[in-house]
Amino acid sequence: MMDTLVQPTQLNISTPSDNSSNISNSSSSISSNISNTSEKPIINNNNNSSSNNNIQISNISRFKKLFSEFTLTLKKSITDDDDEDNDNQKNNNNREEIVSDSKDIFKENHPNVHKKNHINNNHNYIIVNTQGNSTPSFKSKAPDIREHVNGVPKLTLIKKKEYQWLEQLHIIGTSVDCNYPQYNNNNNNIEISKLVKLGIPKRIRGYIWRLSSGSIELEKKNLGVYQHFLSKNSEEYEYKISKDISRTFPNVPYFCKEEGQSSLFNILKAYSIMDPEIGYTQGMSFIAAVLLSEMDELESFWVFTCIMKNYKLASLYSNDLGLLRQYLYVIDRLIETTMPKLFSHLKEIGITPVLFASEWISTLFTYNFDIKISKRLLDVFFIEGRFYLHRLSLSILKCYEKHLMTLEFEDAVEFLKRLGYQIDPNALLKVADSFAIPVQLIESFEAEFVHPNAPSDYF
Amino acid sequence: MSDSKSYDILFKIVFVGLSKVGKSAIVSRYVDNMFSMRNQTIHPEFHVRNVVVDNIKVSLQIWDQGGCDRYMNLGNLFYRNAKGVFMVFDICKRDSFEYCQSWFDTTTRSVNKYNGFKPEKCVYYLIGNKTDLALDRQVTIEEAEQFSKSNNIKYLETSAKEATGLILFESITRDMLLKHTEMEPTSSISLMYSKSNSTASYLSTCC
Repeated sequence: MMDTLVQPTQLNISTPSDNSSNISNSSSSISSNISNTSEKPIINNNNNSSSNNNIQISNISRFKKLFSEFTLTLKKSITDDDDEDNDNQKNNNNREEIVSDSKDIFKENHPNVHKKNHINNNHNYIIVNTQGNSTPSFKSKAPDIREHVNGVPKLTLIKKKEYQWLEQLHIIGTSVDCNYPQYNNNNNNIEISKLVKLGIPKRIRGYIWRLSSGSIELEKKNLGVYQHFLSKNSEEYEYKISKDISRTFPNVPYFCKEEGQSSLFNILKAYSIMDPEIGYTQGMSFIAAVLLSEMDELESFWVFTCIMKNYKLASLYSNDLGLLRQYLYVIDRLIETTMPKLFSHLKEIGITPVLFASEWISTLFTYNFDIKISKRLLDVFFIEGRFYLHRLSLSILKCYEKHLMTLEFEDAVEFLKRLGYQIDPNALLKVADSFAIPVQLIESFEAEFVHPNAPSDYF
Repeated sequence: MSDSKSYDILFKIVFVGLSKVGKSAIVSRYVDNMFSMRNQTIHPEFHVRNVVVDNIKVSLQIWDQGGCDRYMNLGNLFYRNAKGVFMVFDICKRDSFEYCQSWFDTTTRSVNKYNGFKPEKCVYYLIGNKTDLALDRQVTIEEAEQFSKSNNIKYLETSAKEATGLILFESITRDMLLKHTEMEPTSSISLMYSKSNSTASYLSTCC
């Protein structure tokens, strides 16, 4: 959990065990930029595991609230799209910010990005833009929404389809009481869930991820925190991270270049220093890289932090891998319950979830998966929350149940390791939708798993 | 993939070693004869290669583990029934060599624990990789041989990039076969071997 926190820019996440561990080591340059230190924490976790429902609920409600703000701005910007630069200036005030080029970094023919760091002494922010000018110019092509999402988004050239998509979400988002779809049958929430399963349009995906994970709010309340941790050093983790950077999506042009690699490094470094108990573990870099492909460095850092904290996945990477073990145990029990024939076949040939699901879970389906498919799955994960990881794992097996039944050990392992490149995300999400896996069942299996007394030869 | 009936004996070989020493590169050079930039290995990868050594058809089940020590906690399955262990270090990275003693200790402990058989049943090799970068060498051959002597294991050097030293797979296979016949003189190899029709058929079907 958080051991080293900045005051008064204390990271506004309260976790069950951090009540006594705040170390004051603030730097005055950071605290002078902070205006809203007295706001209450975003996440009020109860000190027990049953608070998961509440988190999901608050995720959705935050999502809706923020979304209504966003859409208002959207409408305004569509009618009034001339003073883009002024708005940019306004939005960038009192935060250090990196505005990056629209980068579909997983595209083979990524246009060469000319980066220029423009440091404005008055406002202490950095603008990185594509044109080599200090003000971004978007006249030549449709803007990517990510160029506008820092602060308040501004969509001057938004596509009709995207607008309709956003608007629909807005209507759904504000007209009803919000509750997590898994826990009640509110039709409107099911609508949100349905919509997201169709796939978020590319240009607004990053924004929706930030909105639904709660990172926008977290980012706003922790101005300067990223830069603070970035300025610190941790030899051990930096060494480990540096070894893995060039081995994260090495075939994607963006991550062969210094720009992509240094952003990735920074995110992981800042996180490992901010959360020293977890630090850095392999697997994290793939998640951070996928985030970086949809948003800028600072934003990616906060979404990454939200995945670790809001979705409570940090202990997937802890020293004892407690949460990962629990996931694997629960997935095994779920296979046994929902697909008994497959379960006994897998047992017979000697395959347990550690051989396939450990990388699905610990990288959130980004390792050995086609990146487009990963993003579709993440779309839904951000809305549905951490129980969706069980559901997806089981659904993947369900999709290939018949085929797996025919395979021996070697072929089955090989197949399970590679299926991420060929699986049809629409079919998978459909199966996931119809699969009867009650959350109560997952929770009861989770309770069964008493770490560290779980049978050690199980894995 | 291999037909599970087409071999006389199956050996499981595992690769261990610090992150980025070239474990996966050696495996992929041997299995696919490829050397390319690849993703880090996080969780164990698994490959099969069939070879014929001294007219015995052997299926090598090669397990390649990620170098991240935290995931070692999930490793029981990884070491179970391992008959050969490659302990890899990077000759240009001193720390990766120094770490080998602790890899050796952990690995032997794990192998013994999960296999439930005596340690002498398993063959260990120390591998110094990246000889193509020998100009930056930080670990001398003498040091490495010293280490392997004191632990009673073999030492070989490779370059996955330049595809040198891949004899290590054949070498360990012979050693494993030797161990196997030593430990169980009456056992399966000769029986399985005699079950087959002819030596020629092995040779013709093998890859």
